[in-house]
Amino acid sequence: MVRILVSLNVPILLVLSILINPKICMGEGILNQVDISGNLKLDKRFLVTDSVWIADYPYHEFNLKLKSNPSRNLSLYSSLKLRLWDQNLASSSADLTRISSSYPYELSLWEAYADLYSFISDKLDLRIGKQRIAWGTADKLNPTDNLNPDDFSDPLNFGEKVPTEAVNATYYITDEYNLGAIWLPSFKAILLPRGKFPLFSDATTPPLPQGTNLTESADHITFPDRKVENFIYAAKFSGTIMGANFSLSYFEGYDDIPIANRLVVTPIDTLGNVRLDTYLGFPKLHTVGIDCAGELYSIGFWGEAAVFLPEEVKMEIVMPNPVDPLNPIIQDTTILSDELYVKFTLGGDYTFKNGIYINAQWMHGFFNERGKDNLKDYCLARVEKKFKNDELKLALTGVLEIKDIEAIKENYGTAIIPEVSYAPADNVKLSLGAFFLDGKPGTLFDTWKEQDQIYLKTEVCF
Amino acid sequence: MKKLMRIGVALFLPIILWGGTGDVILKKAEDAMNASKDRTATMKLTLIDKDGDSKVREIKMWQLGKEKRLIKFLSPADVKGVGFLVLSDNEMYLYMPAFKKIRRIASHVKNESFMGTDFSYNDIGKCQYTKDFTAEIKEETEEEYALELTPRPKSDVDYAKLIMCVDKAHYLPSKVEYYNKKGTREKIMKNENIEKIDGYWIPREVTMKHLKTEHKTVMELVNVVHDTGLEESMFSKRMLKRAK
Repeated sequence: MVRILVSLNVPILLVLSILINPKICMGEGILNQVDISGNLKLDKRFLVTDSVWIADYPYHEFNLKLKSNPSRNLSLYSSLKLRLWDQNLASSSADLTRISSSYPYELSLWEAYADLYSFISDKLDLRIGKQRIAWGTADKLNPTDNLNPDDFSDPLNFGEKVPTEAVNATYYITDEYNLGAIWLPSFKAILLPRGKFPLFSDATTPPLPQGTNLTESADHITFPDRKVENFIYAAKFSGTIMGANFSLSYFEGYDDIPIANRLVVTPIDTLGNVRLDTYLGFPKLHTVGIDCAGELYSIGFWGEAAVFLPEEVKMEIVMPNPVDPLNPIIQDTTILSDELYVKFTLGGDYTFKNGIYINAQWMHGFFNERGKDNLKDYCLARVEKKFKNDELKLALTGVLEIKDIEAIKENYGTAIIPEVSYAPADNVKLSLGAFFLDGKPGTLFDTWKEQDQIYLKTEVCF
Repeated sequence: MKKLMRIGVALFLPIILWGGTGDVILKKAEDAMNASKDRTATMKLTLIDKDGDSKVREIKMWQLGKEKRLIKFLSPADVKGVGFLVLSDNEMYLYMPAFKKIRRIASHVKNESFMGTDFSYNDIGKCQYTKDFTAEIKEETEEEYALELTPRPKSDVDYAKLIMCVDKAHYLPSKVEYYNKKGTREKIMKNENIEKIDGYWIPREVTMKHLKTEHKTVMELVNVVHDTGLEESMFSKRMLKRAK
């Protein structure tokens, strides 16, 4: 097994070596064939509540991408990602001696993989290494896309994923049909936003006994053991029927969003102050997915559904016993049932003769929702119009969240996102936009309504 | 009776032949455009606005027969790696490397601008006219035919008609005028610097001009080679991601 894991890391090490010193690794001749590209993304957000604040979770990003094709059947790719936050982490004068206190940053080998084309057979392609495996036909809202963990570093740019180590084999039965098999040796969890962003509206706090006061809290995460039985597998069959593309997929792995399975409330003094310790784990997950995309009367359509077969998660709550302090009260409750549930997205798009583009999607179950009774519906519509040979684009996105369609008047949320983007030159794009979020109590957008903001983004490619 | 028949034939035969000749010329033009078994070319697209400001895109194109095309953007950086695959008039795919996904292009997009150029997806993707148009000769000079192309019923074309000038020397179109559904002339395409390469006539420079916006795209063929034995399997979604 060690040998397999080492072999999996070989391309990562190889690509990393190219990044560090391409001359030594590849020689001058091949160096000339290394294709270097990248981009710089600057992102500034202003929260507009009772006054204007600078949001602390967005980040600037610098991506450096290297690609090389040493031979006809081999391609190497890697990308380095540098994220830079505008957060002030300095709390003493000593911190002011470090630039990272004012501009905390993170550097990541974001992707690093080798493509082996026509591996063993002419019909087999293999991709080994840290990679993004994008599944699904819907527009960003993909319930079948569960191989890479969610990247909620920027929660308003939902649908982003973090590449993970994998062996990804695709066998092309014909030009039309192919079968994919994927193995992920280790599990990776969701990336959460920095700063204050209420990503999960259902944060778990048990009802505390009367007279107690929560003053301290901490959480503890347990990951699945790095053992053979916890490897992640997936398979997908794709093809075309009657002019429409479809795929059937299966995934066996873990939910990338942790769930609380134990809460411990401990008294910390005699004044009634208590501490809450939350223990989190990742439930096992199986999904069966189906997606399709095609065209009907000139209207593009897509549909994607995933049947989730979760493992039951019970939560143990340990509370202080005011009568017998040595014997705490222990309660067990089911927090996630093993009942299957279905998430789906249906959508379509059309471009009118005057160039106005409209894209509409209906999504059942947001990224962070799980469990049959906890899924909400979201209706999204986006209208776009380009001007000046695509240099200027106006877009308006509207989202209606429906928590309970039978009592919609008290159970809805809204998001309105206008945006103007302008490309004054090749490789440069400026965007000015806003998020306006609101919702009735209990909706996702209600928890996000303090996040109304105006943003200014710049992207430069090279 | 015989006299009446002769008059009838004398009246209608030229009309039948005239109409038929238009289609024959169009077929010859189409054959001339797609004469080689396959073609590989690097192209420089210069987008020029009415003030003369320009932007440059570079693409590589592989073509097999009349229908299949694979296009990859080489520059600028923000579109580099974008791929476009044409398997037939009704089956086109776009690969966006940033999303690692291949998306099928629905027909409502096919008449939209191809990556900001004055060519539409259809203009770039279509190598055939006879499927969608019938042709009539409107004018004939010593050098060329002027054909009027009318869309066939149920064809997926966004134009009311096309006026195509076909050079008698090699049967390549020298100019195509595109008329929109309102009957207004919308775009003009010109094939210039027509040369014989590997035994096939091809235009070294193709200009598409939008008359309303006065924006134009000049497509120059930099490196062209023919009949290199491109295989069918090259024109697949598998290769769309991979081609470079």
